[in-house]
Amino acid sequence: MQLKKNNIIKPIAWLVLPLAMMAMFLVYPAISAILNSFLEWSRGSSRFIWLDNYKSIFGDEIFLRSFKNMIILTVFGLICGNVATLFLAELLFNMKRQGLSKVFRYLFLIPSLVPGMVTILLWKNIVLSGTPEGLLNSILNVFGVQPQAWYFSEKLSKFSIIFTGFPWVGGISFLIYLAGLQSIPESCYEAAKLDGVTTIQRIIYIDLKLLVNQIKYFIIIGLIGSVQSFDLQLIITDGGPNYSTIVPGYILYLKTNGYSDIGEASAIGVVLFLITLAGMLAANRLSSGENS
Amino acid sequence: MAAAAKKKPTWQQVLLIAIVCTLCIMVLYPFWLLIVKSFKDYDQELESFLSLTLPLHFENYLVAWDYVKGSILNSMFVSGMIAVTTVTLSAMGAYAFAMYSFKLKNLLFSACVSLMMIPSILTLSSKYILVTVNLKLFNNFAGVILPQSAGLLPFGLLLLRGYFASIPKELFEAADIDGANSVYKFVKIMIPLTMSMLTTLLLMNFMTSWNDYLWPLMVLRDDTLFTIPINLQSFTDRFYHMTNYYAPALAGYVIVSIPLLFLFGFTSKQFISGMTSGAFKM
Repeated sequence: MQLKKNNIIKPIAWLVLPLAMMAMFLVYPAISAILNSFLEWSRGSSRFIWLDNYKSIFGDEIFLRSFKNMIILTVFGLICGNVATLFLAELLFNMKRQGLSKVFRYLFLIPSLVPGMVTILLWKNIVLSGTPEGLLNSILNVFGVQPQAWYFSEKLSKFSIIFTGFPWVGGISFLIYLAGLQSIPESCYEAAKLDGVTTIQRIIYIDLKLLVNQIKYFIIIGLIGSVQSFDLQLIITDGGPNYSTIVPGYILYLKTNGYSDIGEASAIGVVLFLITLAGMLAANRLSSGENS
Repeated sequence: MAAAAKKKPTWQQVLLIAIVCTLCIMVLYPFWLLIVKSFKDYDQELESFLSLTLPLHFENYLVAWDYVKGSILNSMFVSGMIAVTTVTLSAMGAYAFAMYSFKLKNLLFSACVSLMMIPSILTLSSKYILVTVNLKLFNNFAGVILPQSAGLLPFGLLLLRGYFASIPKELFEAADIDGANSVYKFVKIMIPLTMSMLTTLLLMNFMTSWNDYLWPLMVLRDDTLFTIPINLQSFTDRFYHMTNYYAPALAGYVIVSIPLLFLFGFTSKQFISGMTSGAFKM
């Protein structure tokens, strides 16, 4: 099958369209964003201003605050999400009744089929609604707790954002963990059985070790995702109350929309990019250490 | 799997099933509540806001349908175009990477895949300028479809290259002897043999773009062009301000959730087996 030298034309013909798309909408914007971060951007003529955009964002107290919020939301988001989905995958994997396990696979997929916006509005308007009729407020009312404003209370707003989606298992990620568990060779389990290993021990010493690639994948994807996510800010909190939920991504969006400050927006984008890059390298380092 | 299904005291299995059931109820309960509340009128909402009330008010659905029907068509068009464009282009690219060897192939492939690591937040502002100022695609479906398809390409390439490479080469050699050209081999051999993975990718991309909120919000302005997520939010706010209750808006949520559930109903077997098959092993 593998071909003569003169056949370079054919692969190029197959590749030209996909490569052109990626060059135009992924590579070019990335380079242009980095350049823009050194510019005082305007539609007509832009001016080169070195690091002034970076200086001005790091001199901005709200930006620094958004940074802190982002770290809190990211750390808790990553932990909750991964622990919960791994837990669910283990439960389904250990379920003896295969038929039942399959049924649950379908049921747990349903939330990911409902538009994300519906889920968010559901949490905003029903589950964590600030009115006494909200679901969580009604439940707490049984225990004599006063109704809370959740997203709109400065104290609870960050908690509410992390809590959104509780118990954090709906989605397709548990299927990937499940696939990983199913791919663990049976010889591993048979050896463990002979050694009299309990299920809990097996999970800690065998499953988690052998799922390290999946865990790494989800930490990287989750890190990239939550460093840049601001859906709930955009749809519910607007970064408030009193900037308690503001994140850098949302500031970037506000500065981009209406072209109000493209230079600073790009600088924020570059900073977030560097953070995710550092996170990815750290995750790689960590897992390669574990493998050895 | 058999190893896990060894003899254990059944109370462990009972406990396990109980936990899974609890989780399942917690995950699905808000959606149940959504359906229950979507059938209420104003008085029922006031009297018993969390439980099922009779009679069911189907007219909420008629009100909602008028608001959401346009956005469903818009979303179907936009997401369908994105999914088809992405799968077609990824399949073409993956075919080149899997079937030919050429200079710098692996480097080029790594470069393509590493584009996945560029967070979209980095490119948000410059992509916005590219699309709205340079390409003049503001308030135009193309301004949503093109960049979103490009963004999904690297993952598609990664997924399909590995899968394409696992198809036995002998099949293509036989076609070579018959003098088949590469387009013929792509359409008549590769596509049919990898249909389940292509369907999985198609559905994943469709779901991703169906859910997309931020980019369409930034690019589209006329409400006749609004996709479902944008339309839902403005519908909810407007309706709540007018009437001080949510039921018709909630009916709208139910309506817009149906198409994807329907689509999933047809493709779920392939989807789940695709997701849990070899392609996602890392």
